[in-house]
Amino acid sequence: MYDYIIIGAGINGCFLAHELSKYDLDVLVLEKGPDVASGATMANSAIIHPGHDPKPGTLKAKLNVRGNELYPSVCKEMDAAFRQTSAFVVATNQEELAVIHTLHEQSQTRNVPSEILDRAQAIYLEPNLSDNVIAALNLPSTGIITPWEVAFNLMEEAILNDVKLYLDTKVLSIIARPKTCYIDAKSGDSRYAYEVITGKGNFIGSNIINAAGVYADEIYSMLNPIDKFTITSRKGEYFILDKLPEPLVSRVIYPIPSSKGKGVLVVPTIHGNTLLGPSSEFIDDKNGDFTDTETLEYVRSQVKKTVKNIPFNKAIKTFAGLRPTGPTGDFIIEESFDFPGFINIGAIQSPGLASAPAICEYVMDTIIEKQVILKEKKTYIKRTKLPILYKMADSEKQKLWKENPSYGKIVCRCEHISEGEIIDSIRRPLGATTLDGVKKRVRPSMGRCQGSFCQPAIIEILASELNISVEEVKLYNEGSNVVIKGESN
Amino acid sequence: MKIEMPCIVCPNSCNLEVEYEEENGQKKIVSVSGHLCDRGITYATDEITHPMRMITTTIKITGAHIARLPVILSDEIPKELIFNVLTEIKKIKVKTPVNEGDILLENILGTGVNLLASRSLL
Amino acid sequence: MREHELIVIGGGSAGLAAAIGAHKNGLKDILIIERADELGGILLQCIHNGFGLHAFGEELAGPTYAERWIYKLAETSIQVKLNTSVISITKDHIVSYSSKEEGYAKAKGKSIILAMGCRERPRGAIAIPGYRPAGVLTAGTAQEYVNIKGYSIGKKIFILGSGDIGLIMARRLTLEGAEVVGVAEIMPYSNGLPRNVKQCLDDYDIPLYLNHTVTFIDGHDRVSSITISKVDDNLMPISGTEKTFEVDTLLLSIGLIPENDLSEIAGIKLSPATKGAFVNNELETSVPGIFSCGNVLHVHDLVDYVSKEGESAGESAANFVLGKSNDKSESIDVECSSDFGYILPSKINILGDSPVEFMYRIKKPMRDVTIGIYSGDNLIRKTKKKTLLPSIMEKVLIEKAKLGESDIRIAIIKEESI
Repeated sequence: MYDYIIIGAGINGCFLAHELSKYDLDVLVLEKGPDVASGATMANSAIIHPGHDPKPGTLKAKLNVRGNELYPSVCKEMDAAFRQTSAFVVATNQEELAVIHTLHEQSQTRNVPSEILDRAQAIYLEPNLSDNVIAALNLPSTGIITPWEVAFNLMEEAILNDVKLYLDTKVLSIIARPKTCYIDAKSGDSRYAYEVITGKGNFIGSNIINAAGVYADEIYSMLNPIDKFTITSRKGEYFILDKLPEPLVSRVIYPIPSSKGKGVLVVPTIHGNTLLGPSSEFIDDKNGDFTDTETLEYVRSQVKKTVKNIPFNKAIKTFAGLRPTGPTGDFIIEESFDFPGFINIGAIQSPGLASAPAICEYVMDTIIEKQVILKEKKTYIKRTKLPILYKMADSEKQKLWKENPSYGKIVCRCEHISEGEIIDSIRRPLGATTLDGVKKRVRPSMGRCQGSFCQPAIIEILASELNISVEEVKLYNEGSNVVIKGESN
Repeated sequence: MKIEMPCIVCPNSCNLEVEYEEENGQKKIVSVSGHLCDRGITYATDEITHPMRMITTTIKITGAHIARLPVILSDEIPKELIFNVLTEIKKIKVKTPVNEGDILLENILGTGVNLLASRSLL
Repeated sequence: MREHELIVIGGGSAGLAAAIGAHKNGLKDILIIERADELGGILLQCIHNGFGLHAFGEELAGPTYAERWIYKLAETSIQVKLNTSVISITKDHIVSYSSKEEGYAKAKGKSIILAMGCRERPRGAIAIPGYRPAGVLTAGTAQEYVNIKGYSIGKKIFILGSGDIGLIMARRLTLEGAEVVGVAEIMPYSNGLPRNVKQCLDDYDIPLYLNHTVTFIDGHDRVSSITISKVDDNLMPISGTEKTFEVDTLLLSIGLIPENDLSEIAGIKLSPATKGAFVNNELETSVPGIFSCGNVLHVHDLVDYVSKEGESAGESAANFVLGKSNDKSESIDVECSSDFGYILPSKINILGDSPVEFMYRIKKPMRDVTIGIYSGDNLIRKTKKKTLLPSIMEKVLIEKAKLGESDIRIAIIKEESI
């Protein structure tokens, strides 16, 4: 029997798995996708919002501010990139100026650093702000990360500390076992244990953490079809621009928020690209992460309102992400009343990423502490850093090359990623098994050619490292094989 | 009858104007214009009376750093024979060394056309 | 750090010719840096014929054309580093590179020739809507998979874009047993050579949908279908005109872009029209002693012209190193009217007496037009053209004496657009 079964290896599942791995607990993580961070964690704005805009009194407000506080140290500890870029909320008319003032006051009451800049001050810092901008609310504590990097690193360390991770494992049903099955260590009371039925076997846990993103409602309703909640997918479509000789913006640029959220943003990324988006539309299909002409056009027209000189001809990719939206507008983070030991972490839409470390802290402090005895492990293994050559000085690179010549062979010409790094990404404890997995870990194919040059090489490295045929190598999902067996083979 | 056709002989892609007559199912060229070289006339005549095509493809090779050897025909073949000739070509496999211009298959299907290696793989 | 008289970045058709051209003109210490495991560049996967009519007077397959140049190179003292990637170039000609053999190293060139070629525009460049399944790839990548590695990339294929690589791959995949169900082209004309439309599509009854683009890619894992729509005059899809094709693969042949990442690092000025460097009539970039040729300068239609341009760049680099270059203090600018995509060179040194070869492309197809080249207000060359196509790079050679000392401009004198 596992102490905890975590359903979903998104950013929240990863934070909790990592935290629980520090204690003498048996932890299992079940993930439907072929890799960790394959849902909302993969496709979002990658911003660590400062916590200026959630409604007062919500969990969102509290956890966003706390999450923003925690990120710099979390990222440092996990060897993940974090950059405090600051952000502007820009106003283009008097009405919007009033909103900025309200947000400023709200920020002040939350101890979120903020100041109002006039047009001249704002333009001085961000020369590409649109001509309509009359003022900006500066939010200096805003940061950016690479979300899946944080998730991978957390989960990898969790695995090193005996957390079990099953990928490609979809939960089919959950059964509450009779009340005699689980005896609470603290109170001595007996209650349900939970059996999780998957395509890859059945697992029993005394506690369940439901961190299944857009599917969190379906997971909970497997157990409790009466008192369920509903998660709706809100789709966001984005453009990614190539690295530019001069950055378009160096801060996150927010328009005035609306009922639909924070609006369509212009965001610098950790690796020097620019993200434009997201749109915000409710959709019925939880698999409906496709882009469409009208929405992409909408994103184009919206970003022009806050930023000018956007080189749309430098777009290298478009994508869509689904945000899990709940019924109340706030996060759902609670232990089920009817099913003790079953924790729902649902409706973690924006600012979910920014709140993630605080959500983990909150769940630990308010729920888990009461459920189990937390005894720290005697030995805890830190993960080793992944060498990232493009960040290194030549002397460091040369040192690595002497240890292993494959660090000298560049495979991805756009991002300068070596064969050695690609092999590392596959051989790591939480190693890549797909083309996207390699790309997310060490970035080949992230650049301007989007893999048209390096994919044929990476596919062969993957095949050789995984000891499979080239035809078996997948882009991502089951069935997403890139080359197929043909007569000519 | 007068028609326009792009010449496919070389990348110049001359736009040919071809006039021809048809008698008892037999086509006869009256005039060709728009060509930069005389090969255009030959092409237009062939294209109207019996179209010819060059084909290139690859065959399996072992012992080389790449999996396929590119190959080319020594001359054009009748267009309608393309897939039959390909079937013959796909039957063969070669081993290194191969030199550019080596004959890999002779007189394919009695056309008098040979299959040549279009690169060396040593 | 080793210093060479010339470092050529790239050992494809432009780089090979550039090194040979420099050698012919007196340089001895020349180094070619090539990232692949052999010389020849993209020609090695272009197994179709049609190369070499100008350079060798016969029609060769791509690999054969490359091999001819590689043999020429073998007769010289030109050195080659294979499997070596250049990471950066500086204004003062320091080239940083890396390889398994040497690790991270530097070399200096008295002169440098950029011959890195071009890359294909990916799906994201034109924001094709839909899901992001496997089975969407550029035509050049498909060409490498099929022609070099011998893999099959799909059974039922649709192609977006009628550039030459797309057309060539339509035939190639048909010959390999795949079913190519159609080619869509957003423009009202093909972007490939007319002969390729004829022998790659018409011969195999593959329909070409002009004024159409792909408006949806369906499939969660592998492509399951694609939808095309007719576009209006502003190239925007017209709703109600959708046609859906059940295919497992979408090939993209939607344009080539000179690969100037390294040129940007070196601070070389790039032209928004060609996406290549601004060069003078000696193919020298804005950084003295760095020259550019082939598809990294502008995307060519024929490899023979790439080779020719490469040889010229080699000659210029040799003159630069040997102190035979003309004084560049006085130059005239070259520009084109809005009917043209671009004209090269963009600058001409007044001194020197070699004739200047201008290369230009028209923006849209035209028929029965007269092209005028002006020196200031003086018409110095008039050329009648029966047809002008965007897919074809036009060339015109003008004696130096005729060019004069005023800026040069190319424009259409009379036109009847088709």
